[in-house]
Amino acid sequence: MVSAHNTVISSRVRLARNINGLAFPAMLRGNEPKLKEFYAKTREICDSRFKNKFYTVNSLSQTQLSSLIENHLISPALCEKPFGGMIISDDRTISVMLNEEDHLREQCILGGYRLDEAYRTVESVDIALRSKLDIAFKLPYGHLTACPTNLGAGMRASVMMFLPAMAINHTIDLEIRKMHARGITLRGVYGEGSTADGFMYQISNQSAVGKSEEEILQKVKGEVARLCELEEQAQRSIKGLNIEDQIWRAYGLLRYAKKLCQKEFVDNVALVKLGVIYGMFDIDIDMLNRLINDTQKNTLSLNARRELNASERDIRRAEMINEKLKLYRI
Amino acid sequence: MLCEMCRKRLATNFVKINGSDTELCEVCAAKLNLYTPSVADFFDMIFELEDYMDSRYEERVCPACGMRESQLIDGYKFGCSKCYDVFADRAEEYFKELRGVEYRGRFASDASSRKRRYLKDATVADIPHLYSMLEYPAIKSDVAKTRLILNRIKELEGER
Repeated sequence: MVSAHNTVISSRVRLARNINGLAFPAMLRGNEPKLKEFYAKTREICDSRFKNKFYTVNSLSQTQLSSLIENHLISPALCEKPFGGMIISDDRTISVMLNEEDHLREQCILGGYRLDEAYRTVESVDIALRSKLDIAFKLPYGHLTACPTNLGAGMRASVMMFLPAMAINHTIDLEIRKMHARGITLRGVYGEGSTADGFMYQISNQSAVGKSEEEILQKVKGEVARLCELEEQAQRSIKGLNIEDQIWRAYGLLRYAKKLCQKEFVDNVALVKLGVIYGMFDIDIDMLNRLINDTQKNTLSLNARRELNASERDIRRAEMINEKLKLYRI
Repeated sequence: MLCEMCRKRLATNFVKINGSDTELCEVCAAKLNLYTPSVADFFDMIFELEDYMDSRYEERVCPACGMRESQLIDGYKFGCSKCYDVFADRAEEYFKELRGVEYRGRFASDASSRKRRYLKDATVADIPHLYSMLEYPAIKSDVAKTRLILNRIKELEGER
């Protein structure tokens, strides 16, 4: 079995649920008495389960919302919803979106390869919620959702993976097509189109219809194991002077550059991470992963407690990585 | 081209008067009783026909959330849980397209026990829901369950 330690960045499970007797979010008018009751009950249950903060979409600034999106705690679609809200655990592992496409989108996101643990956590939240809320459920469909593709378990299990060698030798393109045919989506996390900045990909089940939660987990885990093996093979095949040269150049840039834009930063950190996997450097990969999160556009501004312009962000990003890399002897 | 009779309005009709081609506006053509339908009239007729067809077809609307069937078809999204009963044929069609089989996951058994609890605890307000439960394929095919639900409905209707 190939180790997933350096390949899997994070694991996430989300469940879609709706309430009987209340119009789904797209059809809400906002004056339904059940809507207030739904908000109050959901908050009460979540408060009893985990320490959290509750926000409505309208109570947060665009920068705050974008930062939550960058950290995968909410979806971009939630920000467009007039009655949208969110409950986010203090440790930022659990988030419950209210009135996104469905009344409830319960999610657990954990660092590393901990898909089962993420499921168990979100399941415990779900059990608490369904004990007090009248969750819409009808056989043979299962959980009733706004979009028919989410019917059944209403579950999406996803794993964020770092697949540099497969991206460099282009074997990833063929895998994306093969997996699609098997009901699995593999796509880039950052950047648009088929190119994935920082060689970061997200793998997830396409549909939950007719499958049990266990089957979805098993399917995604099977594909993750396969990708880990293929990535290891690809890493062996591209190893050599050319890739080592690229990695050292990337290290030099990150160590001494005074300004770095997001794409340049993510792409070069990815090469340094590959260098760590090859044993070229003894740098903490988790620290680099955290840095990728912390140096995103809106998260940088939020942490600086003021709106940074593009140039200020590029300078801050370079300072952060310069300081971190200084601590490691190469 | 201006009408050859009034020289004021745009000519839209081409007619033969005494063997020669003449271009007339609709007003002058009407005066001569030479009116022929224009392209615009043809489209008006089509729209009228469509309105007539629409008025004959009464679109289904979910009484709970107000979702119209055309909205469901265009957006591929249901409006509330009741929509799954109102547009049951559409739900079944989408489910088949997604190669759906009956949900057999973590909460499948909870659902059946919840139904049993529900039956015992049901009140007069739940009567419509009990009637809709009779449509569940799992209950429809089970005579004993159907009888239990019908008996409970009878009891509750007696309480009214």
